[in-house]
Amino acid sequence: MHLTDIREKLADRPDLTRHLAQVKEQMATCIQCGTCSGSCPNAGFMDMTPRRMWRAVLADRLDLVFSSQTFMLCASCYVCTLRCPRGLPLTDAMAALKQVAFALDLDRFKRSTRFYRAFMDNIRQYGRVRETELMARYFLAVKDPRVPMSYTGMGIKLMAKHKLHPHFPTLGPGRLGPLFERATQQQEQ
Amino acid sequence: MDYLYYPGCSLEGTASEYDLSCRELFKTLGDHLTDIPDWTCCGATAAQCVDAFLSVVLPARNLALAEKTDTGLDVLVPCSACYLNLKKARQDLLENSALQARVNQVLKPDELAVNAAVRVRHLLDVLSRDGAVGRVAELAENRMKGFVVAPYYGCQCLRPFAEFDDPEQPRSMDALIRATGAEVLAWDMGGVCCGASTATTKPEVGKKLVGRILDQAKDAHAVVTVCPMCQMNLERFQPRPVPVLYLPQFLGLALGLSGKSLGCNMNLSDIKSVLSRVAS
Amino acid sequence: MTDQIGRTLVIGGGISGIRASLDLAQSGFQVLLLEQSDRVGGLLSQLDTQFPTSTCGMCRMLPMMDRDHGDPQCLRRGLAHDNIEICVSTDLISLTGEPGNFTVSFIDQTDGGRQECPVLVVDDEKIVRDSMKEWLMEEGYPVQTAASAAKALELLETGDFKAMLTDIKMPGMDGVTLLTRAREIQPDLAVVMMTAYAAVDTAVEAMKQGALDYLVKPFDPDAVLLMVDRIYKDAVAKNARTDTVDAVILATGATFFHPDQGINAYGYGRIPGVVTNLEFERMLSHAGPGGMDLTHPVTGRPVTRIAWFQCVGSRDIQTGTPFCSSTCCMIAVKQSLLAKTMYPQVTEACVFYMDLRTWGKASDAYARQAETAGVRFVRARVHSLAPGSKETDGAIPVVWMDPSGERNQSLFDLVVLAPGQHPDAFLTGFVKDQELAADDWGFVRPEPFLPAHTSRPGIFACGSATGPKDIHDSVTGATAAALSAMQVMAGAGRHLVQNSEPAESPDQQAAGISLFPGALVIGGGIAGMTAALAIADQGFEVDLVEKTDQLGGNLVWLQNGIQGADDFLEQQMAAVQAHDRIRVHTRTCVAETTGRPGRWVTRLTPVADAGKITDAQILEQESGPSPEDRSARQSAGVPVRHGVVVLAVGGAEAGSDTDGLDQKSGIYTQQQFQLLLDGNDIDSGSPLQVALFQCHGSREPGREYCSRVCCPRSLDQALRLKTLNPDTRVVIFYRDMMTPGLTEADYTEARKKGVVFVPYEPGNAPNLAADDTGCQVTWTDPILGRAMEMDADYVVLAKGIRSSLSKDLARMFGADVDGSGFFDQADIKWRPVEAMDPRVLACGICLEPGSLALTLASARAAAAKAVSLLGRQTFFPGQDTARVRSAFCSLCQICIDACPFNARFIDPETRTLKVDPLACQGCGICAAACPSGAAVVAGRSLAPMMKTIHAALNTPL
Repeated sequence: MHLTDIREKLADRPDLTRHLAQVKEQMATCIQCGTCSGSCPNAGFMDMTPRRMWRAVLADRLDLVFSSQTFMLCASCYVCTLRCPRGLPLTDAMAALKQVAFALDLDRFKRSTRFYRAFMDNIRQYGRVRETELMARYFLAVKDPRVPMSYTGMGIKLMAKHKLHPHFPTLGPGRLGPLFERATQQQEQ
Repeated sequence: MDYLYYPGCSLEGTASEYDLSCRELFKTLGDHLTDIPDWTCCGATAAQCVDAFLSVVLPARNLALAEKTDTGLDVLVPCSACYLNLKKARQDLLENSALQARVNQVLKPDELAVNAAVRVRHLLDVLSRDGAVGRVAELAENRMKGFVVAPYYGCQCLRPFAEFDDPEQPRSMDALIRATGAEVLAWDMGGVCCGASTATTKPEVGKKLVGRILDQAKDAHAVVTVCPMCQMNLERFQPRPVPVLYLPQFLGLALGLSGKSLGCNMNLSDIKSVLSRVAS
Repeated sequence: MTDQIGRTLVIGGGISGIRASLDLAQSGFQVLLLEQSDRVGGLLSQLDTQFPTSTCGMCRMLPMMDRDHGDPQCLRRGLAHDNIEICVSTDLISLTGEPGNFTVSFIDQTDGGRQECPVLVVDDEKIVRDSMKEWLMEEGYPVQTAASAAKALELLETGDFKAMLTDIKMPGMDGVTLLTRAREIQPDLAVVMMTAYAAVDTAVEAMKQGALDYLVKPFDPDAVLLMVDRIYKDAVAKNARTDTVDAVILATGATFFHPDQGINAYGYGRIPGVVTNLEFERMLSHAGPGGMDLTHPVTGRPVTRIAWFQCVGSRDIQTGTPFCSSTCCMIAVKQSLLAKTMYPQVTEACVFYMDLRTWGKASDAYARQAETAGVRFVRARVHSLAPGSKETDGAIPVVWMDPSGERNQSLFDLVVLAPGQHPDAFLTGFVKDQELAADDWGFVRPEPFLPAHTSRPGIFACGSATGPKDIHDSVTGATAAALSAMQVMAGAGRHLVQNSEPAESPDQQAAGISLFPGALVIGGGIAGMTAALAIADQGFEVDLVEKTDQLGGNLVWLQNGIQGADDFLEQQMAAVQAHDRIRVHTRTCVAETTGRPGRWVTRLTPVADAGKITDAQILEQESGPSPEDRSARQSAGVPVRHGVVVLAVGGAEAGSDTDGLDQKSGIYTQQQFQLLLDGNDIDSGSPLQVALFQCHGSREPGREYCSRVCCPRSLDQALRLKTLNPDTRVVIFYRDMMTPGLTEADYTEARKKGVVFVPYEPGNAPNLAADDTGCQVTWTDPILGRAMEMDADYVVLAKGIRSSLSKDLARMFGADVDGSGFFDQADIKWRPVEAMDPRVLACGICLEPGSLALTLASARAAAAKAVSLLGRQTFFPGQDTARVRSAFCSLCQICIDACPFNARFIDPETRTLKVDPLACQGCGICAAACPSGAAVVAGRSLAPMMKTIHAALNTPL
């Protein structure tokens, strides 16, 4: 991904641009000490350490940031936030990057994007998460037969333990539909 | 004591045994749980990844429902992710009155309003600080003597809010476990992340992280958890069979409750060794 | 003691308190020294060694005059001086009044101290009871706890309590009811309510019913202590001793962060082998727990691998300490060097740091010495520690990331933490009670341009009470504070104590020497002017010599960049010119001096064409005119008779003569760029690209010291550029950002404003390619690992400071310059403003590179020393100095040649050999050299000395 691609995508999204500027501002006092990277349980699985990613954020290298899976791998364990000597809200900033990546609908995060969208639809529909329904929707959304297969073993296990209860999809605006609607309106104001 | 109870979605599904064992344990200890009427999802991990505002509105709705009961009771939350979402929303609302006003506008048509007045407490907070230790000790009669337990705390009940325990070196389960007569495994993995929802989207990562944790638990007879996500990951990615159960299940067994009433038939890991131990 | 004698209260008996007390005492003033702990010496009584000598030199602070009035023993064991009343284990109860008339009341802790103030803590939460008990017991209060109101009432019936802290919301009886019932039992009980949530209304209601105050959970330990201290002080006030003083010096120091507080990621107290640097200092000491061996505190095995972790609870916003503690880097350098050199068993000594803060003129060379000795310096912050395991044989695995993100691991037997410093509860309370101006973190904020003054007249502050300080800055600041106290006492018309002369024979009284009663100050910059004014204000004549035709020195160009400096400079210049005891000689330099030290006759000579003088010419002028000119000018010279000399010749930006400066391409030195900024000559209408390049030619062979001023100035310039245009891109290339103490805040501020910081190592500096249109800067970002570039509009080179003090000028007065060209101090830490001969003083940036505040402090310190000497005038030999038995002396002068301190001379009037008691160090070389036994050192007579030597030689080692 090139810097120009990202900039192009952001051009007509002033809300996201603002969001990213906020992240950069939050990170400004970072001293690159590396406490976050050393503490992160997932750092070993990341293509770029959190320290390098924050440095890229500060250097406006959004191409590097969004070509990386680093922020997607954040498990929100808050260890970096706990230990950062500058008291930076690192975990929250990771979430902010996720929000931007999802909103931009970047190809490389498609699977996660679909999963979380399916999840939110599920909440809107039923108020509470119905796990069977969620997985079904998710599998439909990714349109990749290999994905459901990889979860089959787990599903059978859960089924055997009577933990999965098939539900029939309900139609209509959904249980929390109006609330979601109002929240969207509120943000647009 | 009395508490308002927020089970959360997982406890209605994959973590049903956590729900069962919580209710059973508190009943036995003489505490009374009242479900928050009409509670809905807190937004889980998804909301904060998709929409920052909605990630406050969803938990706020539940806080408002709790306030509406007008009982002044603390809200008890067994699921760490729900706990953090509710607590974080409460904190944000307390610190940011403009946000509170915006949220209240959204809630108003449902005749709800949030003041962030109720206190949100994790199950472990309540168990370790509201006098349960003494009652457990009384009722358990050292039933778990000779048993070694590895307390696994996970992340979100400890961090970022250091509310009831040391986020680097958690100890709040120690006294509870010892009250049953069991020993606490001295290990350093109690607060180390299991991978959380990353393990769902990236199973290979979950496998390695959980492997690292369970390797250190080899000297324990069982691992106990206080979070559905941790429980799921620790049970799902086992390098070798380790009994993993929820803390209320373990305490319930120690108190002599039946495995069935605590949902012990529903664990994905093999916990027969624990059950046979209490039976004997 | 009469009212006429000046008396100052010094609070705190650490280094700063001792220094200020001794300065006042040897000047003849009375001192009342209060210390909370049971001994004086403060932190230093635990530090066996100091850098750069790697030995202890604390006794070098002992008075050089009237030595017999002080106890010439090791200061780490105690302090004694006729003019100092020392009260240890003492609590200050109250302080009221004004300059010249303060009333202080204080109480001996062993006599009705905190033991007399038992506290009852009532809370249903065990964790609250336990932590409150721990905090209060640590401060010396007896504490009992109760889990319920009922239990509390039981305890109140049987015991006598002065204070009760009670929770409001408890099962059973609540705190408010308890309050009422408790006061029925004990009406004078002070009750403080504790409330968990914002139930402040109830607490306020409780106050109407007699509660003293309330605390809101979660508690800050300091707030709890302050509250209980208040009750304690009220309770014991009637037993306290009251006294009157003229001035107050606050020297209470700072306290250390407890590494087991907060998240304790390094497992202090939990992982065997994790110790603090003070604990390690004791382990390193031969008088410490391991004796001559360096062994592990738990296993007892020899220690071979040691790691130092810097910035534990400092430069850490999470622990509320966003500032640097100033001293820990050098402590780590010293400890690692000592460990590596004293113990061959130590194979690995590794210091993990964020910026290695080797600021000041001697530190960087010392760090290089450590590096040469094999100490490894790693720029990394270790995130956390886990205990050693069987696999590691108990050693602690240390994991860190290098800049590229590579994971590294090494095993260490010991990990030494550097806990940061912060204000203690006493200081917080004092600042509040006395309504002193303080900074955001609770340190006393000095008045602008008056480094020792607080916002309250008559109350002065020094040492770490004004922000974390090292020994050198503390000692300088303490002497400056002593001057301020002297000024108050003089203003109140107080006298000195007239010490009786040594109770010796009249023959020895006659051997006293006296000083000419005036001072010569060389250099008319702000240092020279400040010293001159302070000396003249105390009633002594001053000749102020300035080579150029204008006073003000570097402050003339600096004034626009420092708020209020222009007015200050103008006032000082006017005051100097108008002072009837100061004679200002501009366009003048020193030609020659004759006479004995203290009885100098110095000839001044005009400088030709001073207005256009260049640095090179100045150096030549200071080294004196050529022999041909000399005789011609001497006749025109003005002779000045003076007893002390203050060298304040200043310095200049280094290396402006270096190649590569090309203003056409936008390359400027820091000073040149400052002039552009101050002159509003930077057009930043459209965003600029600016590179600030630190340590250009500094901290490398040729100029092996840190100039201390460039990093703060670059930050200031960066912030100004960002203010002019927030979109201007500013990159600072640095080796270690030297922002010790509270200047760290500017560092953080610059990052907040978007200034980019790029570290570089020597040999890997950014590359500059200049042409007529500008300068291209290229570098590799160490974190991103990518090549970066910038077409800079300006490249600013921070080249540091060099001293203008010439060897010849220093040697003219028996002093010298050090390897870096600055004034060679008697001891860089313990006697920072004087030469071995205490009559030769120096201040400002010819003494050492530093900020305006440091220059003012050293100038006032030098003035204090001068005033002390001039006020005493006549000096007699003490028990420690050499004497002459004139009847045996044949005036062969062998001893004069032998004396390394130039302390012996023939008095032309009496034709007898005399000893200068201010110069003599009591080394005894004269006694050894004298063929006729006329030279003796009292208390070191031949027979016992010979016996000692025999014993030493016969003792098997």
